[in-house]
Amino acid sequence: MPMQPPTSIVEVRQQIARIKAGGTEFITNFFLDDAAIEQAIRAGTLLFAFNDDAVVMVRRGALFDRVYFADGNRASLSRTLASVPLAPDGCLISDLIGTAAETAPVIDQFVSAGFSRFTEFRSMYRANSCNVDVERRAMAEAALEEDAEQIWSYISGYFDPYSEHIPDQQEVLTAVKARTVLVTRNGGSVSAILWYDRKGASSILRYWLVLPQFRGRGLGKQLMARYFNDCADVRSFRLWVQSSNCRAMRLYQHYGYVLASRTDYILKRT
Amino acid sequence: MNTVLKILSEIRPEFDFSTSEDFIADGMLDSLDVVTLVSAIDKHYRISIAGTEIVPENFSSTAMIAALIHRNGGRL
Repeated sequence: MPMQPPTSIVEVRQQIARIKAGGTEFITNFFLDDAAIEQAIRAGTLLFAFNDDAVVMVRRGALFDRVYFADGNRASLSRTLASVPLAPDGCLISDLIGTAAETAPVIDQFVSAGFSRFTEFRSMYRANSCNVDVERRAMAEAALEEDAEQIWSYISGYFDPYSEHIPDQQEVLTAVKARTVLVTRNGGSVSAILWYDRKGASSILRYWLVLPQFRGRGLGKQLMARYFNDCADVRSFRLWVQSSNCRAMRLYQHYGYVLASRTDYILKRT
Repeated sequence: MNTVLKILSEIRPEFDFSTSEDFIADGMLDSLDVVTLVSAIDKHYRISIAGTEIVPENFSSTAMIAALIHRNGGRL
């Protein structure tokens, strides 16, 4: 099945709507907003292929191609996924969010198409009403624009590029300007980072990193305290934590986060 | 309407949806939640919400969700 670039965002949305109308068990992992779709179409990085039961989309990237899908009834998803071409020396990454029971049949289709389970993240949330004591005198501060390059370098160096949505430098700068990147310093250098996004009454913790040589000094605690203080009016805090990282999970639980039922399964084909 | 609130609270248990007038603007539902919500509504009301109706404004309040269910043949 040849992949082709969509002519417009409307064509993409119409294909997904067609799949939903024709199936009884609609599922998708295509959550790009309209601005991101338009940007990908303009850049020529979005391709798609479809049949009666499923649409598969690929967003080309420098390191890997991300695969999205919309499927109506699992009749031909595996075949459609298998038709996605692999770039030379590249790989395909896809993710699927849901409960284990919801996602198992779809993951089976990915596995039949040559994908393997790469890693998985658990969803955690924290209601602001939870009574957890955090320090009131936080030493962390909002990052400065001149910190942006260092922050990008740390995030791209310490987080997995296939599964953790590494931002580009412009995205880092935008977040720094919005004052949603908090840091602690050692001399002139950044020693720890906490990056969050915020929408309305909700906030998601994206990155929380203390450089190895500065661990054990309470820097992570200071960042978290500043985060909760800055977001005192937020009603819900969310994050994704790697399922195998029990230490991180316990830390988040210490700050009042609890596990939600959703898991994000990262799938990879090489 | 209580059923809609129950479905919403299962998707985002940390929120009290009865206190918000705009779930999207308040950051209580994101695009992933909307797709999960559509699936739950489809199953519960035995309907199939049209794909073209899966836009944030149709999920901004219990009244908008109720209207969406009604338009797609569901009985509240």
